[in-house]
Amino acid sequence: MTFTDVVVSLAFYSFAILAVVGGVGVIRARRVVHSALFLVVSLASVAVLYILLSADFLFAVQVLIYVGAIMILMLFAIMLTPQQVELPAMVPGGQRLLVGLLAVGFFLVVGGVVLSTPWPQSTPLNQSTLALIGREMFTTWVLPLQIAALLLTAAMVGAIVIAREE
Amino acid sequence: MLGFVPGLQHYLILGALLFSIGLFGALTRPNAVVVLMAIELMLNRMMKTSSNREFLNTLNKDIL
Repeated sequence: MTFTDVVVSLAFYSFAILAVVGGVGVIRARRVVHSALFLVVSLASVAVLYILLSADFLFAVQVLIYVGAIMILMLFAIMLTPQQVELPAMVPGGQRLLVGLLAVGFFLVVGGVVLSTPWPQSTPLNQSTLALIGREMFTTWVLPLQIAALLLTAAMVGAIVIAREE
Repeated sequence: MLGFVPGLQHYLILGALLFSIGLFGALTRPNAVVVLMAIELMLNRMMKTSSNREFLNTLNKDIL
């Protein structure tokens, strides 16, 4: 085991644990704001894991869009709206047990498939992925890109129409 | 089997674990905002899983 292996393993396991702890915190926190803050921890840890996968573009996107934009928006929405409705923290025990079994079963099935599949060995890509993604996006995937652009424009127009008083 | 040094399988299993947590959260919390956040958690893991180049290669070769 080389020095790089040790560093990579240490970084992977610490941030993987942090991501899982954040994820558990999201669904266990009593207050919605605490859930949102735990989600920030989880998303930021995943951003670090993207670096370990040498996915530099996804790291930037994860930090800018998820940690930056979406979480700020959620915290604004939570803090600016009145929270007078008192809801129970969890659904009744029977449903919780059922859903827990479903989630554990899902994890076991996917984990089993991951472990039993012979994955090919790959060599790390020692270049920036930004140019590759850009080229693919504007050649192979140009139609889905334009559809997504149309969808976002429609959503923005709709938001303006709803928000405008009159 | 799994070695100590993280490889593709470690990332995929982590993704599956976090997806399961998100699934559990989305179906057990009555608060809609928390449900949205749990769904966010799940979507994020899907993105993470699909960002694995080896995973995509296997998918292309074997399934599509």
